[in-house]
Amino acid sequence: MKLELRIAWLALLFALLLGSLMTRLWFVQIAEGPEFAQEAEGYQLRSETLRPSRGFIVDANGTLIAGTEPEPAVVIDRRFVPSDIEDDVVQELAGLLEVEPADIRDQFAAAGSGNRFELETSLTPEQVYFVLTNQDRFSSGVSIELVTRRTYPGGALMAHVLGYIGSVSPDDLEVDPGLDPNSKIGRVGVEGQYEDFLRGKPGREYFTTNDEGAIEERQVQIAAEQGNTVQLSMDADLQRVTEQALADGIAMSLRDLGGSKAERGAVVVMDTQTGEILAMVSVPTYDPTSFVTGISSDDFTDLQDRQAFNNLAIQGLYPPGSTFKGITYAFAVEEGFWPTRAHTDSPEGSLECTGVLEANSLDEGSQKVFTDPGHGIVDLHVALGASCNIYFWEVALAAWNQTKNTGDEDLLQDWATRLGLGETTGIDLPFEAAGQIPDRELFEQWAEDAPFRLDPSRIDPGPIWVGGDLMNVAIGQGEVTATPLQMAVAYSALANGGTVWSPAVVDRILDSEGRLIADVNPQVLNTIELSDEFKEIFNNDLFLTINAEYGTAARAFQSMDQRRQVGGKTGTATKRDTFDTAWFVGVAPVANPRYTVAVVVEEGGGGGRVAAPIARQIFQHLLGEDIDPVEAGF
Amino acid sequence: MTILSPTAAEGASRTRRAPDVILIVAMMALMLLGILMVYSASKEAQEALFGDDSRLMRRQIIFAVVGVVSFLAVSFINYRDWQHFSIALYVLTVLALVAVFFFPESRGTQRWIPLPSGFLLQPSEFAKVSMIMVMSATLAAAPEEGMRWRRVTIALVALAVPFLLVVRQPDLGTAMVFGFVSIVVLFAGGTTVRQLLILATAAAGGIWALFRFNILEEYQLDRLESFANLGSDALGADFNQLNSVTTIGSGQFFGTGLFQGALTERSFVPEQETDFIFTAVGEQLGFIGGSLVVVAFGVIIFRLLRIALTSGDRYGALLAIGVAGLLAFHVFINIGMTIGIAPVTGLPLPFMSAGGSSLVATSIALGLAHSVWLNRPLVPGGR
Repeated sequence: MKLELRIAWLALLFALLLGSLMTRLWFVQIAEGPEFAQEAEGYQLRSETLRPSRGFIVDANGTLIAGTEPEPAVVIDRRFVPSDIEDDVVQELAGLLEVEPADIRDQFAAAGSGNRFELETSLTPEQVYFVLTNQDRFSSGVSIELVTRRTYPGGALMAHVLGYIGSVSPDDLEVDPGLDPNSKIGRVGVEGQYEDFLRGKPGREYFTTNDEGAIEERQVQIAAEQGNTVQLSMDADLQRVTEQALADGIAMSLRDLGGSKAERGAVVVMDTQTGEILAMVSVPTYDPTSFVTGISSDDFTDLQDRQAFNNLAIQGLYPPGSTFKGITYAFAVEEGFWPTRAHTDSPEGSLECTGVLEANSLDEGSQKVFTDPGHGIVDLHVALGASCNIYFWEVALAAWNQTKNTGDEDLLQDWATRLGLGETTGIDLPFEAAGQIPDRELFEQWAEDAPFRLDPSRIDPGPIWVGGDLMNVAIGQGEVTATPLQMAVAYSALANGGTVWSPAVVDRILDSEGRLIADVNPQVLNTIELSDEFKEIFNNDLFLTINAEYGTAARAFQSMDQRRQVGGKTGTATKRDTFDTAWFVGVAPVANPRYTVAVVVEEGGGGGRVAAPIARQIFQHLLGEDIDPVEAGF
Repeated sequence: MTILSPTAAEGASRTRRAPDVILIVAMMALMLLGILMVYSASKEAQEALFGDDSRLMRRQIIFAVVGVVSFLAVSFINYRDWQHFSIALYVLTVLALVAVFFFPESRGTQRWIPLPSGFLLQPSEFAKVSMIMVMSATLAAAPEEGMRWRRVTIALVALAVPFLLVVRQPDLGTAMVFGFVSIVVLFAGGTTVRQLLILATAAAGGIWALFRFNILEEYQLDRLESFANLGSDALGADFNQLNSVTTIGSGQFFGTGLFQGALTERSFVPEQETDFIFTAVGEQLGFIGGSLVVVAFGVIIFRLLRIALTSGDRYGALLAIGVAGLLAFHVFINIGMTIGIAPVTGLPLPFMSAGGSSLVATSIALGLAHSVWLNRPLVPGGR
């Protein structure tokens, strides 16, 4: 067959295809056209979005944490509110619902002309009755309908982890034009992070209507699909105990410690071995329900001023104080830096702590003297349990003398970074803070970009970075900052043999019928090779903090029956012009830790006095004991 | 054949580089009408969503400009140069089709690559064009008479990879385009009727075996089923088509008038600015407008076949035929879907449906064929 002939056959095929289109078009538009036109005439068709029900959030045991329930709401269809009476309708509604007319007018404007939307107000039965029986005072565009609303059966329980929902904004529509402009969207927390799973899929309902807009016949309905269920790894009971413990601890600090400015604090409880978050608390808190029906701008401003929306467990940056010594401890053992005064280069090499340290080699020109309470004869074990600054300063000093101005100068900071400090852990919650681990590079960068952050003498005459700075890092002071979550991650890694977790609050996603859709597993951020020597001694030395008579948390844990199961480290971050910030990070059971608990009370006092008793209550619950009241540690 | 082939006198009287003005005018007329139709079909929704009724239209204008520029650029490149890059083009196509799987699903399929500017690139639209080029180059490398099985097999194996990737997305419409266009190019390229029949039998047998021996996993069946239904439930797809026929029918002979479509205003047919754009034409411009659109496509398709006849080599001829097949299939399936004689699949109407990938890819395809026209020999049939 010649090409010309083949083309002719194809021409015939294409002509047939197009010809059949023309024939059918003729049939539809000319032969049956008048009938279709008449049908179209009758179609005063109106379609409405069927809003999907938002997915549930449940805890590890399946307890409902965030659900939905049908609730009557005022639904306004602006197509049937004539514009000349719109203002009357607004005034009428404002009077009935006891809100500002401006609030309602804003909602009219936000919905856009010709749209349907629900008013963001909870209704009393009387108000529902009034609207239903006084239709003439409003217009056919105002009706009462059952809508599904987000409910949080636990009230403020887990508020910061849950986040909250808000109305879809023009910015949201810019990002995803497919959104229903009159719906709600998760803003922060799990509600925000897992929005795509929780939202569900809208349906549509088609009606034919008469001239007045009343529904005559339902044409077709495409059902909405409920959002997926998000199951947390967190435990509601543990969360409740943890929230209460932190609240009690803050109250105790204000009551018993003169000068305490305790107002804010946070706790993280995580599974030491798996990286799952079991409880997470931040104070002050808020009630996510208040966002469902709308929150007044005064209340919102007040909460914002008190930083109530910040999840301090992942966003609060504090100098970790002596809790950092766990990291310095690992650095000393694994890299082999020992105080020059210690009689052997080993954890057992002891020195006499008189409370005074004279240092000559800090690059700061003159000799410098550091003071701290004296602890007598200390080796590494005692130094951790008693939180001896002199010992850890001498570790830093030894490292400084051997590594300054070499490639190994940042070895201690490297350990901190590898353990998850100075960068976000990547937890499945938005807005996590990174914190910082200072080194020469950072200070030089500040000298360049932000000299006001440094003492002027560092820039002129200099030097910018000195041995004292490394000593500061070794005890978690100065410019070191970390979140409670980061410290929980670091201690979990030290106690579990070296696995640094990127934790997760969500365990899995289920569809609305309970079938598994996705497993959310914490990811391994980093694996650190820890020596057998370290693994043998570290958890035991955490034990000393609680169980040795000189232990900094001994008093706080005195009343706990199973205190010999618990290890930990206290921290007291001091900063000029502020009250001390209390820290405690601990693990249990020490032999094979399952739980890591990190506690911070901002400007609450000493770690042993304020943070340790809070942690003690949480460990009592975790190990199945009755809880003793929070009392000051010592 | 005299109807289609230019006479010797005609061929000689024109300068060699004269563009095919009729083809270009028809293409630009469809683009312009598309812009108007996109506006009429999207203004209500865009106003409600963004307070800006011409937002989607402005994007469509940008796409049309990019389309015309691409058409001209490709026109001025000698089509024969592409032949040497067939393998590179093929690899690029496969990579782009694999790339979509690294981006999140949207409406149950993975078809798009998000670009930094906020636009979504749909590689499968461009794959349609590059597969025409690859198949044409493969078949043109063999003599016209007596096409060997070996050559046919190479062409089909080359087709299989992108075909399966598209099925995986899943995108039945594009897979069907690959199928139709490859049959057209194989036929024009010289396969015997017997070979085509054997291939058809084998394909039918393969499909039968897939179902008979449960080779497909359940989720694959679900996906196949869902693409037969436009990715939503059967009720929804059916409903779209019924409404679409009603809307077009109500336009009658003269239509309800530009921007006067009562049902279009109410978004009676979902997707009316993309896959169902022809409903906006049918309602507002009636049989006159609708049939003119079909005629305009017909003009383009027959100009393409004319280009194939005048081409200096088989590669050029197969390119033009492939592009003609591409357009014919799209037009038939898309318009046929809106008037109820073709299944509902997500194939856009070339030059008119809102969206950049299809418009630009089709413009490039037409530019390729036009390059064949610009580089034709002075004496028709002189090879």
